[in-house]
Amino acid sequence: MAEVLMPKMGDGMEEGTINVWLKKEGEFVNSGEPIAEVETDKANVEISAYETGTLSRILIQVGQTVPIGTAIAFIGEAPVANASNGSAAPAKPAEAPVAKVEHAPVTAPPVAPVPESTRAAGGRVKASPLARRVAQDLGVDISLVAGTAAGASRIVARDVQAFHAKGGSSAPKTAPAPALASVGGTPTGDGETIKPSKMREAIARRTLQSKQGIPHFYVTMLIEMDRALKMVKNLNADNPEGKITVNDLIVKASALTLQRVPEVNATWTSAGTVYRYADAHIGIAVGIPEGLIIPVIRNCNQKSLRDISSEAKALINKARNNQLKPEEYSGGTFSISNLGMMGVDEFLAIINPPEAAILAIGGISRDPIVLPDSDEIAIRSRMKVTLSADHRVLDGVTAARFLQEFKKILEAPFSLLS
Amino acid sequence: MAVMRYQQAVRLAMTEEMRRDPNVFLLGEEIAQYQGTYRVTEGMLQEFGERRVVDTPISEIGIAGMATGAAMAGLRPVAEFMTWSFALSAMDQLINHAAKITYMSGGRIQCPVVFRGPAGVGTQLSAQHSHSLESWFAHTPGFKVVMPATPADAKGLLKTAIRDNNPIIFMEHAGLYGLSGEVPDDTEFMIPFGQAAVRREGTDISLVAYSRGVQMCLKAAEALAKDNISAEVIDLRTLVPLDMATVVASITKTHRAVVVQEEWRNVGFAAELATRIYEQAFDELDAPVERVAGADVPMPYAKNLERAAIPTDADIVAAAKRALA
Repeated sequence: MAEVLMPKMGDGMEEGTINVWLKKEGEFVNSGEPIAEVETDKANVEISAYETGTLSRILIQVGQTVPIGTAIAFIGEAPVANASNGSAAPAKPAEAPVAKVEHAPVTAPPVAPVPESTRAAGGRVKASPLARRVAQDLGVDISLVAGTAAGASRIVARDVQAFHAKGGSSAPKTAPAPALASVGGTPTGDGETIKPSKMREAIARRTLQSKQGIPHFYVTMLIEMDRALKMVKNLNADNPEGKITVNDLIVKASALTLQRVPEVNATWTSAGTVYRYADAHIGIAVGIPEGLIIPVIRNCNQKSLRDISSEAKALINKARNNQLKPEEYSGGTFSISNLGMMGVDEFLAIINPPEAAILAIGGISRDPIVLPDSDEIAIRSRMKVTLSADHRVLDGVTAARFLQEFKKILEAPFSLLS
Repeated sequence: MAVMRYQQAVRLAMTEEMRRDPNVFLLGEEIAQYQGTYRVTEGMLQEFGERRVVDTPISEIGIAGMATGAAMAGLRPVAEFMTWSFALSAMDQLINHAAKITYMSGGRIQCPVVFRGPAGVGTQLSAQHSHSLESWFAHTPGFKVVMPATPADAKGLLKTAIRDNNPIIFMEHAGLYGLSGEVPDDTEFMIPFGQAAVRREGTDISLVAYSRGVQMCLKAAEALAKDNISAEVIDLRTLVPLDMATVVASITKTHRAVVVQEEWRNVGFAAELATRIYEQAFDELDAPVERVAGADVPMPYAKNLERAAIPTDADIVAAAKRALA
């Protein structure tokens, strides 16, 4: 007897709905023959039998939705009906649904677009031991990676790193994603139900995961922006085309700061280690009517202010027009959320996993301040920034050091022109 | 520090130890009157006299037996085999007696003997005289197996060998006797067993070897550097005891390894080395361990065939590139 499980058919799939059973109970099926059609959030996909035998029992009826890894049918000799549960045993999620699917490709052949060459007979992925370790550290599902070694027949570490750099990830999670309805209310007053968009759902899921799973802490600092503003003005006077914005300065300053305080440019891995990135890929939160998306400027540590500025403009435009490609909004190592232009003084941002920190930028205000070492009062432009950090990866002192360096750079901004 | 040849460094180690300890003596074929086939013992008869530099009959089993017995009786003999290929006729004395006597006597009898001589392949000595036999001895419990790759190591390791209370297999390489290098003058210059040396640092691949293989690896590393491949070269120095910590540390950095031996490929020392890498550094590997070894044939006499049977630095370069492909 073999269980047929709801397979994971692609990234991000957490549950599937049975659209139609192509075989009836008692019917004989051959290994490889389609037995059902499943609807996921992306597509309708046929599930094939992995075993040859009689489809002895259908557990999940048409229209029912179950998490991946749930037994949906039996092939071969059926188990005796579970006496305590009565008949037609309902969908019983396997204890570790996703992991189970990984080890038991009982149902569909893998849907992942992996070249056949890196799969041994039976679908096993050929990867070096190091590649597997790196994949685990980076949270990459190695079955999605294309190999380049040994005549493209083996995945090695560089392949995993390249895949990750392009924004691939989504290793099998060890725990199911938190249910979106977990803290939902039951409205009673007048109103209407709005079905959330896919983007709204994704934001809901990720922020919930982040806030529940990452021990956030926050450190705030005030930065004098007079010199930075003057520099922006001068730069733009020189070159009216492609204006540099304060936000561009902030991105460049973040990149420089991440180089000086590399502890922040890191991630807590599913293996329980800290992975420190070599390069700074910085995400910029962009609000759009549907919600929020974070396009990523890659290798900011290697780019000039002008490069960053023009790339940021292009990405923000694409974001507003829903034209971003997946690799343009994933693979970040650090994020910036700027609500300064909305008149916000300061705020606390939620970390964008798997990053270790996000910088929340407030507005620039002209404040009277007491000049140091004197009794005089002067007017200065000041900006409040708050770093939200993952306490598993770094501590308050590191976060403070990050902000000190960030402040130093923006208050004496010529290093931004390097 | 003086610059000298490998063969002179071997002599210096023996001379210093004989001056220091009257129990140290030499025995072997043609080592006294004739001054040694490879001139390793040149001048030693003159300095130490015929009681301490002893010419023996042409009987390797006799040399091995006499040296083992003398060591059991409290002396510290250094027995020369004219080449290690000739030691095959002494295998019973070596394996069944020298290597085991401490065990067989319940630890009561020690056997501080050094068996030394030229090993390695090449120089058109043909099938019976051109062997690399290190794994025969590394395979046998009781021996320490030492294979120096440089003049300084030849001195430092031989001195450690002479002062060690266990039977030592000390394999010089005939092809290295003419190699020059700096050798410390210090009469207490000793290199401990079981400490590999990183001869060249690199980040892309680890080349692990001993004896002449180290020199081949250094050449290979030069060639690889031209292709922007940074190779680390590790000299094991002693096969028993074996310093895996250095090897694993290197592979943790490079994630790839080529292991090199001159002897026959089948069941050779490189196979042991590769297995230990798999056992101890599996998760660090990004490619299978590549093995460079001699061809599984009796050594041909003809020069062109001999060349084809012996590994070269070009083979190491090719193996490294396979590992990095």
